[in-house]
Parts: sequence; structure tokens; C-alpha cells
Amino acid sequence: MRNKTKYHYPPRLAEWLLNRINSEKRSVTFLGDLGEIYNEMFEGSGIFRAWIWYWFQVFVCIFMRIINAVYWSKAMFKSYLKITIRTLMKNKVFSVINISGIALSIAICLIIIIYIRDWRSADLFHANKNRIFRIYSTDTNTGWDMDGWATTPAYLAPHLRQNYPNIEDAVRLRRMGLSVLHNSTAIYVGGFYAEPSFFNVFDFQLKDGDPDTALNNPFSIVLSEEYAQTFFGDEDPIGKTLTVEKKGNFTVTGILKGFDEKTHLNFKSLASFSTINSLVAGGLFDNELNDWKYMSRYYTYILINDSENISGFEQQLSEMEKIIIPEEKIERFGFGLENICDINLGKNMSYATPGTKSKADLFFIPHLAVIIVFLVCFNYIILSIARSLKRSKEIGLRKVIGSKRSQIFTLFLSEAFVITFLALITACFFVLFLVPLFNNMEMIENAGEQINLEMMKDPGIYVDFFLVAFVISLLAGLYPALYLSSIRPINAMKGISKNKGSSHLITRKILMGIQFGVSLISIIVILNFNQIFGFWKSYDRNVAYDNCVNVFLGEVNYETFRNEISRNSMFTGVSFSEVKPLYGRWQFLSMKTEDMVEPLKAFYFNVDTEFMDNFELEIIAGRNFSREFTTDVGKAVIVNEKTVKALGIDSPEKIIGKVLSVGHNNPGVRVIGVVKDFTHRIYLENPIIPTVLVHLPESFRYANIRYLPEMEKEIKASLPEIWKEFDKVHPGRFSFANNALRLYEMNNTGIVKIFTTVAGLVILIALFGLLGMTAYTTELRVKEIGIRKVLGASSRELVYLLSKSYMKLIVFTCFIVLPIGYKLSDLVIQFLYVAIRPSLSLWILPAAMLIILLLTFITTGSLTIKAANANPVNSLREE
Amino acid sequence: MDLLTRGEEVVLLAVWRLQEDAYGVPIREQLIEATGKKWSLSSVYDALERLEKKKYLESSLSKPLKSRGGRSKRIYKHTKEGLEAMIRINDVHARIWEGISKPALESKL
Repeated sequence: MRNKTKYHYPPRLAEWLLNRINSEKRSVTFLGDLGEIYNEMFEGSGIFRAWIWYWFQVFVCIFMRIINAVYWSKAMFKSYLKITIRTLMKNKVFSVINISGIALSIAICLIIIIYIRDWRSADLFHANKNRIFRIYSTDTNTGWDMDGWATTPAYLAPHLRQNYPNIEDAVRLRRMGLSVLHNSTAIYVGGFYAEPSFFNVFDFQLKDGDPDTALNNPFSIVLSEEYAQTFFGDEDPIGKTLTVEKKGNFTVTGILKGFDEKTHLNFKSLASFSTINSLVAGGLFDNELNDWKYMSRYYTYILINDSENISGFEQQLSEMEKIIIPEEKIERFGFGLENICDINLGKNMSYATPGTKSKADLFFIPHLAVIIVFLVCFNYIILSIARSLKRSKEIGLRKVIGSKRSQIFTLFLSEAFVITFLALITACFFVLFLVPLFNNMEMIENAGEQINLEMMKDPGIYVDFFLVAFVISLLAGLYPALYLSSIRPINAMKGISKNKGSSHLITRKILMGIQFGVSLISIIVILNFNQIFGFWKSYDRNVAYDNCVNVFLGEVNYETFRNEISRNSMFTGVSFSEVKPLYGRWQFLSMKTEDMVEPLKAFYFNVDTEFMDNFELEIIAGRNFSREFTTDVGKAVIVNEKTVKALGIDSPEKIIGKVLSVGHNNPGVRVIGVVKDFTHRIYLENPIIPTVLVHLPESFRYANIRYLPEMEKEIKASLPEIWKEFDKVHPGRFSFANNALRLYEMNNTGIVKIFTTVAGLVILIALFGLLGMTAYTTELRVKEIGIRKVLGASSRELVYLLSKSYMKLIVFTCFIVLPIGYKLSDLVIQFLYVAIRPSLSLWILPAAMLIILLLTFITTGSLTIKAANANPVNSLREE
Repeated sequence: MDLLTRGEEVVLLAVWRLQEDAYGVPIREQLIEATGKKWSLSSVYDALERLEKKKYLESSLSKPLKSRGGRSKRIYKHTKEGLEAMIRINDVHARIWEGISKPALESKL
């Protein structure tokens, strides 16, 4: 050996780690040997190499340990499996309930996974999917929490085609809606205007027709098979003409092949993009094609040459931004790229194509799943600890025979794994069974939110399922395994549990407290919901929003319409408006008085003179619109009470006659009346805000016809006929307010049902935990109870004694949780966007507490009573 | 009367060659040279410990040495059973390889 050469110490941290990993026997010499080699390397190749080598050895060591552990576990696995199954069979009822509970929560996770995968699988069928990107626009000025606009200026695509050679192809789309005249009725055909490159970039197929030329000429259109059937029956549609109202004649150049796959582009027809030029020339469309100002109508997709060089292209895009966008607007505007497969469940965009869902839409659901999973794991932990007393003798015995702590740990961990995987299989069955039931719920069908079980055929999904089960096993099994493996054999055999007065008592109390707390919050939420619905039922909206049918006027003159309709005795009133009142489009304007700096944003309705009466709105100052005053048209407004306050005016009377300036370039309008506040939307999602009624008859589009409720059926039947007298060509468009209301209520009840079920589940799980713990603690105190009985305590006193500790815990938890529950319940309701609601009435809190005390008593009562009535002879007998 | 496995044989031979100073580092070097595989130190230790469990080797700790940062070496020596096992495998090897030479094998390639 060399002498007197300095010894170089290997990195300390690495040595410490190795010490931990290796057994004691090996550690010293192992480290010595490694140190020798380290020194050799140090002398030979330098400190750097030596260092790297040493750390590498650390990783190798860890790796070998894992391999060994797995190898040995495999050997022990069969025996563990047998034991676990035996344990499960011993308490069949308990095991079934335990597994079902876990299975239910796993099932929820599985459904969520299926749902997300389904939506994320959109557009995977395009051959070029790695190279297809959509360009979106961003504008930091919108102030909403959208991520951008799915649309771009129309000029972007041609500009890119000219200046960027690494773009193989590009395609622009614009939404299309045509009113086709067929057999003297008008039929709506929707889809997109698309450039000829459409079929090159995307993988949509044509059943008939030539994809290379179908969209070349203006006024060409390709139809879906259904449309072709509607218009042309069994004849060959290629070459035939469709007469489109206002736009002209289109020639059919192809038939689209039907397809099942999910895509973010949902269309039933495509018209050639070049048609737009002609429509612009004819004055029907604004010319937005040649500048950068307008960016809300056109979608731009590109096919890049090289999917490797995305960042290069993004770089070019941002440089292009500087060239195109005027100096002042650079910070505000920008462009971004997203891959076609990332569009669904991706960014939250304005003007997204119909049928797209963004990540933001899913927000609520994963939180729910996480909560349920945690609860179930909690439950499992509590129950395992509760059962530990029974098993501690077994554990003690094992340890005496020679099991190492790590083996017992592995035993219990594998027990958790086995149970969870059994639960996983059960959960799959739950899913296959429950989902069709869920999908058939009316509310879900209407919303199109069905869960697609086809996803279960994809093998990749089972990897996700496996991961879920794995994580749950770990979460649930880790603590019990650690706890149970630390039981000392002596104590176990003697029947002493470590827990009478030690730290585990606190853990137990905390876990139970959490269970109580969560159940309490669930109860509060349910009670809160009930309160809100009661409130809504009796809420006075101050407007007659029901029993109204809104008829779209189209070309029909409103005066003519009014004259005819008022003669019909089925209707009690008719008025006119620009949009469907109370549940149609939103319209806003901004207005201010002379002395205001910042304009006030207000909601507005464009209505006729009969509107106020028709909807039973109350004028509390000034007057209604009247035909006598021609200045009422466009120059007079009626405001609501909220507006008066918002403008800083003391009383409604004072605002009459005041002139407000509205928007830009407006000479000003005079306030002629004030209406009592009413809910301007029948959905109670929004608080009452300043609302303005204006009178612009040339923009009236809808007739609001009110009727007696008992006439509704008859009206539904006869309305199409009545409409024909006004317009034979176009089908009538009727919208019944009651339907919208019904749908809304159904949605709400649906949500309430789901919430209540979830909350119910939560409470059930918590009660289970409670049951288990009670069983456990009463068993612990069996001897104590026996002795007390012998000494003369009555059963009643004993029941009281046993329950006392719970009651104390519950009351204590209540004090902490009730304020939290109050706040939380409020938050939850906010998620449902209901602004008009009562504040949580305080009686809910003690009510919740009482309910939980009651539930606790019912669950644990029988156990406690049984324990208290036990014959002391049996309890005190030594085995 | 069990026969040694190939791996066991290699390790025992390495220990034999080293005679007096058979501990982790040089044993590992021998193994790497003989088998051509880059043994990690932990796998060498695993093999040595298994052989010790089988009672083919016995070990003892040397004095702590400054050249190893104050740590001792674990020196391995053959036990009687170990030597017997080696003799057995040697016999078997001699018998089954009798008369077969490398050129003979290569000519059939």
C-alpha cells in the first residue's frame, strides 16, 4: 500500500446516504472499499470524475435495494395474498362494506378519467396531427379571464403563405349559416366557409366529389349525407343547385363522409371560402379580409413542414407581431400557437368553435374527486387502526417467531394494495353499470355531457386506472402499515395496547374530529341548498316572466303582427323587444351624466310601449314610453332604481328629465321614467344591476306574447298555423319562456341531487369510521366497564360515560368547524353562480350540530348500549 | 453434494487468487477482469455475503486503516466446505471438458 498519501474524503452526504441504505454489517467495510476506489480515481482521473462515480454508486445501491426488495416480496407475495384473503373472509360484512366504499370513490375517479380522455382524444385521427396548429390571438385588454381568441385577423393566413416558407399549407375557416329555400320552406344549413386547402390539412373525407377541387369555385358547397338526403332525396346531388336566401345559388360539389370521431370542428357542410369575396362585393359581408383590425370571425390553421421546429416558428410569429401590429398595441396583442390535439380541454377562448370544451369548464370536478378520495383513505386508516387491537396479538406472535418490522410493514401494505385492487375491479363494474344510468338522466342528455364508455376499450386507460388504485393504496395503507408494524410484541401479547394514554390517542381524536368536521360541513351545505331553494320559490321577481312565448319576427312587420295577434282571444298581451326578454342575449351600454367621469355600465332592453304592462313592471316615477311622443323613439329612456342610485341621485323623482350621454357620438337621452327594480334575468345568477329600457322600434325582432297558463297546450299546437298567415316560407321560431324555466329548474335540481348524493356519501363514510372507532374503543375498555359494573355502576351511567368522550369531541369540533362550514358553504354556492340568494341563516348551524349528534347516537348507540349491558363475568374472565 | 453455480465459482476463484488480501476492491477487480462485466461493488458484496451464508467463505475484520479513512477491511477466506466445493467443481470441469479444445469448437462455427 502506498503510505503517507493524503486520504481524500468522499462527499459526506453520499456517504451518509449509503450508510442509511446499507445494513449495519456491511456499511463500514463497504464505505471503506468505496473510499479506496474513490481515492484511486481521484489520483488518477481527478476530483470531478471521482465525485460523479461515487454518486453513481449511491444510485446503484438504491436501485439494487429496490430490486432485492421486489424480488423477496415476490417470494412472500403468495403468502401475503393468502393471509389478506383470509382476513377479509373472516369479517365478510365489514370487508364488503370497506371495499364497496373504496370502490365507489375509485369509480368516481375512473369516470372522471374516462371523461377527460374522451375529450382529449379529439382530433387524433388526422394523419398530420403533429404538424397542424391553430393560431390564436391574445389581447391583454379584455379584462376577462379568457386566455385569448380562437380567431385571428383574416389577413394572417395569406401573409404567412407569402412570407414563411416553412409553412406547407394553411387554411382559413369562417362560420357559416345559410337559409336554403326548399319547397317554399326555409331550411337552415350550418357549417364553415373553408379554403380549398381544407382537405389537404385535415383528414375529413368526401364520399362523393373531388377534394382537390370541391372548394375552389365561389358558391360551391359540400353537404353531409343527411342534408343531401333532405334536399335531393336519392338523386345524385353533385352538380345540383341550392337556392340560398339573400346570398344566391350554390352548387353542390361534394358529399361529406360521415365520421364518429371527436373533433373540435363540428360542421355539417362546407362552402368555398372564395364565396366570401363575392358576398363582400355584394355588400352582404363587411370587408375584413385585407387588414389586421378585425379578428373575431376567421380561424387560421397551419400545416408546418417540420414538426421539430415549432419554437422556431413561434419565434417568427412573435417577430411578425411587431411588424404587423401597430406600435401602441404591441403590449396588448399577440399571437400564439396551439396544436390541434390540444384545443379540446385546452385554453379558454372566446369565439371557440362550437363543441369545444376548455380546461376551465372542468374546474370543479377534480376537486370533488380529490375530496372523496381523501375521505375514503381516512376512513380506511381509521378502521385499520380500530382493528389493530384484534390483530395485535397476531402481530406480536409474528414478531416473536422472527418477522422483521419491515416484513410486517410489507404485509399490511400489501393488504391495502389487495383491498384497493379488489375495489378497483368492483369499481370497473360500478362504472359499467352506473354510467348508462347517469347518461340517461334528462339533464345530462340535454347538455350533451354523456360519458363515453368506448374509452374503456383503449388499453392506455388501464394504466391510468392502475395508477389511481396504486396511489390510493399508498395513501390509505401507509399509515396503518407503519403503525401496526411498530407494535411491540410484549405489549401485544399481554393484551395491552399502546394507546390508552399515549400519543396515538391524539391522532385518533384528530382523525375522528376531521370525519366529524367534514360531515358537519356536508350537512351545512345541504341545509343551505334547501334554504336557497325555498327562498327562490318565494322570491318576488317583480316581473311576470312566465307564460310567455317569444316569436321571432323575421321579415314580418311588427305593427301588422300586433294587430292580428291582439284579435286572438288566446293571448292576454303582446309586446315587442329586440332580444328574448329575461333569458336571451345580454346587451350592455355605458352611460354617464355630465358630472360623472367614469361611465356606468348598464344592461339594456329595447322594448315597445306595451312592454311594461305586458310584463307587469311597475313605474314608480315619471311615465312609460308612449306613442304620443315621437321623441320617445331613440331619445328617451326608462331606468331602474339601481341606476338612480348608481348615478348618485337621491330619489327617482329627481332623475326625471335628466339627460344622459350614452356610448360615443350620442347626443344624449332623457330619462322619462323610473321602473321598480326587477330581476332582469329569470335565472337568479346575477345580482340586479342598473338596467335601462330604450325604445327603438326599427330594431324590434321578437314579439312577446303572453297567455293564460291553461292555454299553453293549445297555443303550442296552433301557433305554427297562426304563423303561416304571416310568413308562409320560413318556419316559425317560437321560444317558450316556461321551457327555459323548466330546463333551468331541472338543471338546478340535478345539481342539487348530485351535491346531496355526494354529501350523503361523505356523511356515510364518516359514520362508518365512527362505527369502527366505537367498536374499537369499547373493546379497549371492556375490562374497565366490567369492573365498574361490579362496583355498582348502572348501565345507564355507563352509557353516559362511554358516550361522554364522543360528545365532547363533537362539540369541540363543532365550535371549530361551524364557522369554517359557514364560509365554505358560501363559497360552494358561489361556484354555482347564484348571486340572488339569502345569506346563510344562522339556525342552520345549531341544526347541523343537532343532526350530527343524532346520527352519532344512532350509529354508536347500539354498540355502546351493548357494551354497557355486558355481563361483567364474561368481561373479567381471564382467557 | 451440490455443485457450485457459475457465479459462485467465479467469486470463489477470485478469492483463491488473492490468497491473503481478499477483500472488496481487489475481488471486484478480479471479477471484472475474469468475466468482462462491470460488477458494481454492491453486487460483489451481495455475492460474497451469499457465499458466506452458504458457509463456503468466512470473513474477518482487519484493523482500521488510515488509508481507508479510518475503516477496516473485511477479509474473506475459504472454509473447508468451500474448498471441497471447489475441488468438486474442478473435477466435474475436468471430466466434462476432457479432450475438448478451443480449436475443435471453433472449427465447427
